[in-house]
Amino acid sequence: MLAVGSLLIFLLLHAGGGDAALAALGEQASPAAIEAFRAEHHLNDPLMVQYWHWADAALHGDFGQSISLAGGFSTAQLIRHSLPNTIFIGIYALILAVAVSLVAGSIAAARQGRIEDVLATCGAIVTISMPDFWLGYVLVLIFSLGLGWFPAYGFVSPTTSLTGAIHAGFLPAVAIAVPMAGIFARMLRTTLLETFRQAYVVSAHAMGFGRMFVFWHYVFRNALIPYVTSIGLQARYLLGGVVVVERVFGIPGIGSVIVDGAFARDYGVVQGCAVVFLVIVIAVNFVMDLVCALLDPRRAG
Amino acid sequence: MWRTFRSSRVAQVGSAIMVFTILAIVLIRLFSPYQPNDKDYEAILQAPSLQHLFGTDSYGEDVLTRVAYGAEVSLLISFSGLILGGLIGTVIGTICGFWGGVVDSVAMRFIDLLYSFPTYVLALCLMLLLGYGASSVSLAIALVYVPNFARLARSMTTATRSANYIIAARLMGQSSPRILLREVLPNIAAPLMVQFSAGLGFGIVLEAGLSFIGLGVQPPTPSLGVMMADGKDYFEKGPWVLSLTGLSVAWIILGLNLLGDGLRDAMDPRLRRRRS
Amino acid sequence: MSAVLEVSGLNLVLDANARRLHVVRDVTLDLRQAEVLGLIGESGSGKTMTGLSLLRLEPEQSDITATTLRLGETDLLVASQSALRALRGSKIAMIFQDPVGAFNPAKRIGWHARQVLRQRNITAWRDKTHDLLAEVDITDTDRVLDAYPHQLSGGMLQRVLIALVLAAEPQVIIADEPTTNLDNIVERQILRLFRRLKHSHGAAFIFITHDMTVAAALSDRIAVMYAGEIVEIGPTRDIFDVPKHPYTIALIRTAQALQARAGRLPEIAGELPSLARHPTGCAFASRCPHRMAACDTTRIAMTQTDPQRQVRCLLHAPA
Repeated sequence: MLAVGSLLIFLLLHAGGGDAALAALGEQASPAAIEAFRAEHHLNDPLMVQYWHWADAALHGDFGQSISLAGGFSTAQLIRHSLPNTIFIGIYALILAVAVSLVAGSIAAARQGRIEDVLATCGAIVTISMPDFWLGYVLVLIFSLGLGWFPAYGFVSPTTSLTGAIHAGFLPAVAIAVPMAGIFARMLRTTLLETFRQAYVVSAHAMGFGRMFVFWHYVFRNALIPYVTSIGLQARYLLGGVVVVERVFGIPGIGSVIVDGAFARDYGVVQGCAVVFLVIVIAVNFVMDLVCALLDPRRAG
Repeated sequence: MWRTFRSSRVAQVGSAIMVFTILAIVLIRLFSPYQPNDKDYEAILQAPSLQHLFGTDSYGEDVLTRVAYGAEVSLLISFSGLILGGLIGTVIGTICGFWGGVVDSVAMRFIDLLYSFPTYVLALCLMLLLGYGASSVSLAIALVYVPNFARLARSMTTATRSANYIIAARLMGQSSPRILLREVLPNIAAPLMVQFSAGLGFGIVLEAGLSFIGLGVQPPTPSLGVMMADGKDYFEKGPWVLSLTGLSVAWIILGLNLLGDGLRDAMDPRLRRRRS
Repeated sequence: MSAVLEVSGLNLVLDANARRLHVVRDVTLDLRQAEVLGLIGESGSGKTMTGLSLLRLEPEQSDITATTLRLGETDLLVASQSALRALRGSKIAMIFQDPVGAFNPAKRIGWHARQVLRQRNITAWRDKTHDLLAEVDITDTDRVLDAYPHQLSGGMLQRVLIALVLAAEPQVIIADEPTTNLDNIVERQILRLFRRLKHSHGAAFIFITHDMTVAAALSDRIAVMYAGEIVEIGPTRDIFDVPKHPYTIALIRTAQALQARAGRLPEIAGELPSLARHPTGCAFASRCPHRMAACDTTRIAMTQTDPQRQVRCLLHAPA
């Protein structure tokens, strides 16, 4: 999966024919210098050989030199420095979204058709419709520029100070979490309502179990399984949102790195980051599958 | 189905929002005293007022007029991207679902892979490849949505493949392409349409996001994303440019989402009435 | 003989997608101590909805009305939700058609047993479960208790469910086609189990089924349902000997033909009337060989033909 994915990205970016040598050395570079650069970076080899060189290095944690960014950082260094920030923000947002959606979705389903349900359902559709990066600015307008509770820009790395990161990362995490929470809450509400109609729920009522007992142990417990699966399926949107929101708040995560790389037409950086993103999404889905297997005895081996 | 769609309150609100939006766009374009690129250096960054309902931007352009033009650009980009992605995805999905076998497993592997890239990362790589601009953004939206349609079409097709009416059609000696077109497609069209209407909203977000970070549609094309990107540069002095443009984006997406929900409810009456 | 369950004039109207479905009409029956009442009818005749109504587990979007709906001393119509919950399981219980669907798929069988017994304030649940399961012929208790529902067969699950239901010694047990989803051999085992339990426990059963032979084997009395109404009720022996309602006659003829392995099955022509459009007169009129003009126009009431029997048919109405 990963091999094919990295190959795909590699081919996609090389098929574009953007000449890395020209991009790195500038339009005025002498033909000799370009030739030397190409030889050094194996740029004259057939594509598959180039891919082989790159993949081999990548497996050893070497994504090549960034040819555009000042200071001569290697792509691997860039990723190593930025990855914790991205993961932190991603998990932060995920926790917020899951927490809010669990509460809102459960209330909506339990009070179906009543005012709480209408409010939650309307709230969900409205939040789903908000572009996260725009929401980020609106939050900044209200909470940073208006109330001054949170910094408008900049970020504290969680490796430096966890509490600082939680404070500084709050607004970006909320911006990513709000539309996600809407999606998750709707998903949970639907699955809860479907579970309400299952035979085992009627059966539990016929046994005379208490209302809350049936809700928690029968309805909620079983609705959790499709809910967790849906979180895995949303990972690509969640991380997609991270890319743009990092940009909005100036968070030095891989989202920012890949955007900078794209601006500089630094294919090596974009390639490396894209693969890292792929790994993250696959990892998230893997974890969600594990959680599902724990929750659902029918799926455990 | 059409009747349930019309009687659904969600669909009614969604339609009302969309009709209002389209009407507003047309009216503004017909009667606005401004053009989207009318620069007025006397009236730079004016807060919303009766002259400029949404205020003016850093060139003194009327934001509301620009939103009306930008909405059309963004909708078109999203729409064409979805059409393309929907077609490609549906073709791949139905073929894989209908014939199965090696082609299916290889193609779906590839589709799953596409589905594992974060949306913006995939779009960004494609932009890098094709160069910036409206048509590239359309293609990026298409690429992001191919796996959604392919997965949906495939699962729906696999489900119908063993349905009795398909088996009957086979027994009657109909050719496979004919069965696909005549029997399978009409039966899976409904969920694909729901996906389409939901995707239309997200396409606009994707366009806006890409253009916002500067990797999408490029100025002076007045897409909503370009305007928001413009607005962020002087956000502190004129927050209304970004805020109100974004609000318009959210408004349009809300309308599209509600329409999609109404469509889905009409399609799946099972979900509408529940007992607990 | 006193009735443990008294029902009269029970009506249930479902509110489905702006259509109102009158699924249970004017059902009157009483259940005496330790008797088995067979409730017979084809699918869609309102048997299950009647059963659920007796536990007040009718769907939320529905209207239930009755002249009497009384379990022992309790009026089920006015009882509070918490009072009803206290009755369910302990005084009146239900066994469902699909045993696999009746268990929480995420929990082991042992968990179910523990919850049921905890509700009855039994803490030594494992020992007690052992006894309960032995009663339904399950001996490898530990394996069963450690299994998840999907790991056991339908017949096994149905036994477990029956055992759990019996744990509370309810006075009334409603069994809704408990053998329909099982294969033939298992069905026979379960039926034998029911017959034994009928003697060993003092509970009264309402046994819902569409199968005349099953009803005949188990029930003391039979009530035949058609289109939401009870059309005939009486002792099993009498009904089989002299069926009175044309629908009952047709049902019994079909069952006998099945048993005799006749080459050609007599069938009842026509189909159930739509629930949304119940005819003014007799619901069976359109399929009835004895149809008269009055059948379509008059609302037909139950007629007491002898002390034990009632029938809803103009042929037997007092002149």
